[in-house]
Amino acid sequence: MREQPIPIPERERQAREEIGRTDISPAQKKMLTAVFLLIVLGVPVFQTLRERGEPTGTGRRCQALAIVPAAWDDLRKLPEVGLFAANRFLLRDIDRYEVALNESSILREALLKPAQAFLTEGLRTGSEKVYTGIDGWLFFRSAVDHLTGAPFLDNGRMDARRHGAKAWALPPQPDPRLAIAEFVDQLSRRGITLILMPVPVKAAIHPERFTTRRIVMADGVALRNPSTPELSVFAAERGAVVFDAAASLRTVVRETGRPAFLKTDTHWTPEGMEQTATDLAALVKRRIEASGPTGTAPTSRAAVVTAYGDLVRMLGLPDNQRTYAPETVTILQVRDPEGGAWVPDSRSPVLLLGDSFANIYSDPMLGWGESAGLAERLSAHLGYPVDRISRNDDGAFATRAELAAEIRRGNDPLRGKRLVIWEFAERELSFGDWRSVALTAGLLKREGEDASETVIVEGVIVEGVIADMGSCPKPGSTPYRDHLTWLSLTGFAERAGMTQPVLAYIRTLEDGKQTAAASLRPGQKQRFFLQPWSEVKDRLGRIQREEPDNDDLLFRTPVFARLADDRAAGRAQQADPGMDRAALRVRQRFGELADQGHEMTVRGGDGWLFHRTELAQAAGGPFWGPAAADAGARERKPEQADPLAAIVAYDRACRALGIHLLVVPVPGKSAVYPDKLAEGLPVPGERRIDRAHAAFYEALAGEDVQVIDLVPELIRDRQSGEDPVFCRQDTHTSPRGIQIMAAAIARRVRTEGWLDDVPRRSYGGKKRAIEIRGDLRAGPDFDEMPDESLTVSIVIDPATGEPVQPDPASPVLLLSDSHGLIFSSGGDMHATGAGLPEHLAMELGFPVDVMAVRGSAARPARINLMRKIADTPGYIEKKKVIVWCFTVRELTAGAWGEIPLKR
Amino acid sequence: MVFSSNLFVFWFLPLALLLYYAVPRRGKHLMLTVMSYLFYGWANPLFIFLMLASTLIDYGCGLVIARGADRSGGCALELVPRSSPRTDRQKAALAVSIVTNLALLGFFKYFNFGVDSYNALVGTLGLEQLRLDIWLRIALPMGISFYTFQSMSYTIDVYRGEAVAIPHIIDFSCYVSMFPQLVAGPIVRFQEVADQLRARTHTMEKFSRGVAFFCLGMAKKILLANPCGKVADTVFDAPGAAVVDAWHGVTAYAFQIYFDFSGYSDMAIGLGLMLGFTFAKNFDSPYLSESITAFWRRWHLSLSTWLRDYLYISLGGNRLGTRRTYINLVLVMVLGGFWHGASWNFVIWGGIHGIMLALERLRGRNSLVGGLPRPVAVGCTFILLLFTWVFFRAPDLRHAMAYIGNMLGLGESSPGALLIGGILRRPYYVLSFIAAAAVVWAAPQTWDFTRRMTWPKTVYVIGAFLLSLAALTTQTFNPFIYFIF
Repeated sequence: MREQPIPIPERERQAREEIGRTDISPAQKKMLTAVFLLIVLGVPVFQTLRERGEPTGTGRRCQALAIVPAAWDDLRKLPEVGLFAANRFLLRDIDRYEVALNESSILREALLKPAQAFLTEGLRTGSEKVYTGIDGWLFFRSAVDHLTGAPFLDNGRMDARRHGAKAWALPPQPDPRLAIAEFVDQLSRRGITLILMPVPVKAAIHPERFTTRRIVMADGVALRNPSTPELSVFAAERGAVVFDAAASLRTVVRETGRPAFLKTDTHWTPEGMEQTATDLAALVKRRIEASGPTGTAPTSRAAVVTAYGDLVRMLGLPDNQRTYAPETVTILQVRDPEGGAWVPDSRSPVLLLGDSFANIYSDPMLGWGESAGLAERLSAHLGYPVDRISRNDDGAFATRAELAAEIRRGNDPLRGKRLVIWEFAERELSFGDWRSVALTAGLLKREGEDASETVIVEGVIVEGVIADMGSCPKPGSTPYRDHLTWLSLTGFAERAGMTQPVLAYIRTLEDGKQTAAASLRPGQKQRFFLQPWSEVKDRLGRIQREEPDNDDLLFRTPVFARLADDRAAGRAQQADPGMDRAALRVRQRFGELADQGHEMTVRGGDGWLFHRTELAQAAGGPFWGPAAADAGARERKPEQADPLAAIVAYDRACRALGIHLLVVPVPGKSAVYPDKLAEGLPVPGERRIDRAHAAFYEALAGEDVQVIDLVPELIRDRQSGEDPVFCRQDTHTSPRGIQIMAAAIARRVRTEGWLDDVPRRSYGGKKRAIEIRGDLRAGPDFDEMPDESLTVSIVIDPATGEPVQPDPASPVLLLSDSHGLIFSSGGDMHATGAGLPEHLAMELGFPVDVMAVRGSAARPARINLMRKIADTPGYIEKKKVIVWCFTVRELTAGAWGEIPLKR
Repeated sequence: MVFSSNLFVFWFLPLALLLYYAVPRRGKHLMLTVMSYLFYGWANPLFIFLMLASTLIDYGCGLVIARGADRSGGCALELVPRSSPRTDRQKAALAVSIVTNLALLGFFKYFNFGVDSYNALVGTLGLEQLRLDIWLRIALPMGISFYTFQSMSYTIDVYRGEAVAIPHIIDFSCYVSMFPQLVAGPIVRFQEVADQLRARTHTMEKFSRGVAFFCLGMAKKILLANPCGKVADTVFDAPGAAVVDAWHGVTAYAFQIYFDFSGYSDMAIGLGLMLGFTFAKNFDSPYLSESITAFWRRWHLSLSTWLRDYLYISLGGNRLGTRRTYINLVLVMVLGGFWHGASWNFVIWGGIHGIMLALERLRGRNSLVGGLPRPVAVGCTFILLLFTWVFFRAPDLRHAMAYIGNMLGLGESSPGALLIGGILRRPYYVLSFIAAAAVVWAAPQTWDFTRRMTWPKTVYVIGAFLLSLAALTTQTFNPFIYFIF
């Protein structure tokens, strides 16, 4: 450019003069520049250095560069999906990248909690999600905003919501009237009445805890969003029955003076819920009084629960905060007439669709106890069971979608129903997505579609590509501690037949912390452990879950996914390649049988009885490593869920003392006698049915733990035509099974070099016929069943002429559950001197030491041993081998975790 | 990408600064352009093509205008003499530039509004059969109002002979896309930076003052605008707010929009200084104005001068008689309002300001309350501004009128709205509100504050930056208000 006399505008001239006249000392210049650069450069440098320590493959390394592969992947889709779709993918990835970068920031990590503490405790304001109230009360912001905000039926507001959707997401349906009308019509076509039950927000019932400003309301009247009355009138005109939960809650406050909502939680108190359940039950009785079902009423028992409210967690305060204490409430737990835990009953004429207001006091994952939620209490007041579909959050859509999905999969939860109660948090009216949901059966069975759907029926490890996925909320951004998001998985390289996208749910929040899955990004290739959703549904089905907005994907048969970078899970897959249809059918049948009824015993054919827990376990997939937390009994602590880790640790502890550990899991009866369980189940052949267990033993072997897998030998012996290897009526092995076990163990012990130094002798045997009433014949229902005849073989010490006795000084210790007592200790163990310790002595030629418990060998037996070692100096030094024998049921029911040999 | 975000402060900015200072002088504009396109594409990658198209067209038109009748393309670019008549080619090139930019702006910004308004009109007239059932909703490209005005100013300046055309496309792209002021101004007219694009200095003095501007701007946004915005959002969303809450809410909004926009401008000016550019002042304590006329000499100066130089003067300014002057004033302000957004509320907002400017001009540029003591005049002007801000903030005319009704005690109260007192009186919001008021009426504006830096001021600037970063961690996404204009 050539120099020209260009006129400089006045403002510009002033600015240049101004900047040119800056009065700043050299030291100040340096200080400002240096501090600024140190901050803006130092944070990313430290961030990057810290992320170098993150494991590879977790998506947590070099997060600043994570956008590059994601963007490249989106651009590669361009020829396939077109410019605008590829751009939407890119926008979505940019958004997720920025959110992830923000959430993983070391600055945020360092400053958020102190800053939040100052805002909450110093300035009494709360957070972006939570308002502080009076006297330590907390309020969910969006709930308050629903109350104070614009009418949710205002057209301008609804338009703004529609147009405010992110470019890559479907706009929400903001008008609840459409969904309510649709649902009423769908139900009325089947003769079902809808009870609409919006649960008011906390500030509506307790405004005096939110503001000191005096708010005068008529008795029983709650604050409402201006559109609420209009909606109620609309719903009633369309044929729904509107249940006014606010009136019940105000009644509690007015008549008892006690709060209807928890002080520091979004949800109601047990008292508030109880009054609501009482009034709701009265309404239900009025609607189906004439032919209401009869039956034995459930019973109730009180329990005390103490927990922190979800709003305290959402405040994001430092872990040692003392401003907000946990709250203690008394809940009324409901038991079924037999004393078992209450469960929803699909045969009930009443179905409750609910959100977290239905799950609190019911789902233990919310931390407020179980068996005492809205459905349970409603059932108690009605005197008969209630069916339930509930999910935390998204009450506008989630439960209707779940209902629709079940109907499409051929399970019809509406069969036999007369009333559907649709409970949702009232704030959903302002912020929920009221999408249309078609309750149509069999869409997935259209020609060509059924065959093309990839159905996972057992645990499997595959490598797949995340074609798309839902979002992963940060801890504290949602009232819930647990969250699942959805994945659309494609590109499976390893499995034939998996050609269609698979809908998978994966945990992104677990107990208030983000899981590794929260770092997943669309386009990423990842190894997953997939298992049928049905296997975890009871445990995880009620937690907050993000669903795809694509109905084609939403109504596919879902699976549950975990990241499969775990070694043990990898071994499980190696041990379980390919899909064996016959084995899968067996396992499905096991599951069906386990789900029928609640008592301990499942009747088979020919007088065979089976333990229900055993069947449930056999119907499931892997139960160790990453699968452990969701595989077992709900009451187990997560750190005590994984048998693999515990057994490996115990093995290492034994080795440290120079002791050889032999692990002897006693298989379930169904693994050896599946054909005795029900018609159509096969006689076991070469391919075993308990493949998950086999994989588990492989995993243990991979950790160099010696395991004696009894199943092949027991099956072989069964095929030989000898006596049964299991008792028909008892959970334990038969006398014949005992002998096989002893022989198998002894074969392994005999390989020990030290055995040559142990003096041996021969033992004699004596047969005796016995009649037993097996432990599976529990309850009067089995009284008519004849006792089982067995012949035990008593092992006699020739020196005494008595049954051989345990020897505390023996180099072999049998650490066991009741499998070490059966036919050995008399009484309810049916015989004396004919059990595993005795037959082991016979096989080895010397007596063994025994430490057996009637309970679990997973924990109590090990604790007993630890105490014995502590109390008896020199005891453990005499041991060369510990035979750790336990039923396989313990693998999912037992409390594992590490227990030291020596304190 | 938002300046007040973790991504910008800790990743984009350091990378941009490192690359900018690492490349040799001749590569700086290319580097700045690349980073600016990345910055812009972050909001929506597709819109990059839009800006690129606008840039190419205006660059080409500028060359055509500069070369005048010469079609060879070989002559050096010079200032087009002001006195010489313009050729048809030059006129056509200018027309292409203006029409293209206005068409882009019109389509992307006003298409939805046009369809909605048309449908509302035929609906009102009972002519439902004439409704346009168009499914297409046009997404507004971020910053289009700013960069089209900026780009247009180039061809107009070249046409008027007030600037020399740029021979290199990279230099021009750098001017149009420069990330510090790309998406929300200040609108940098070409004249202002033409010589800086040729040569500019990079000094530590400039850089450190830029740091001060950036830090103070960020503090305005994070510590003052965002909490005031929460208060404003709460009250504006509440139907039937009490009188005192309604006034509280609109005052909070007045503070929010000032600190949001002036904070952004300060950050943009600061970033410009770090890169060696000097941008002009955009705000000058506007709420200290004694009249609306004075307000427009202190508020969004880059827009008001743009409107004056390119619209008001083009319409004849005050050269066509008193009546026409008043009409021009109102017209320019109405168009200025419409520039802000496709809504009748913005038209009304601009119209009120235009009428006030005309009335004050009628009184010899004196405020309607000009005879009163200055504090009273400032107060009265502020109250008048509050009423105009209601139209600016409310989602539509119905809500704006309802809100004004609430301010005047004529609204219908809502029980739910009674709760908002519990939100507004929280110490954090009260403190932020008081601090905002103190800065508005008692503190020097950023240019004056940073003119003479002392040690206490240096510590204050760093402290404000650190405090902003801490507060940033507690806040969710808070884009600048002017991003949507």
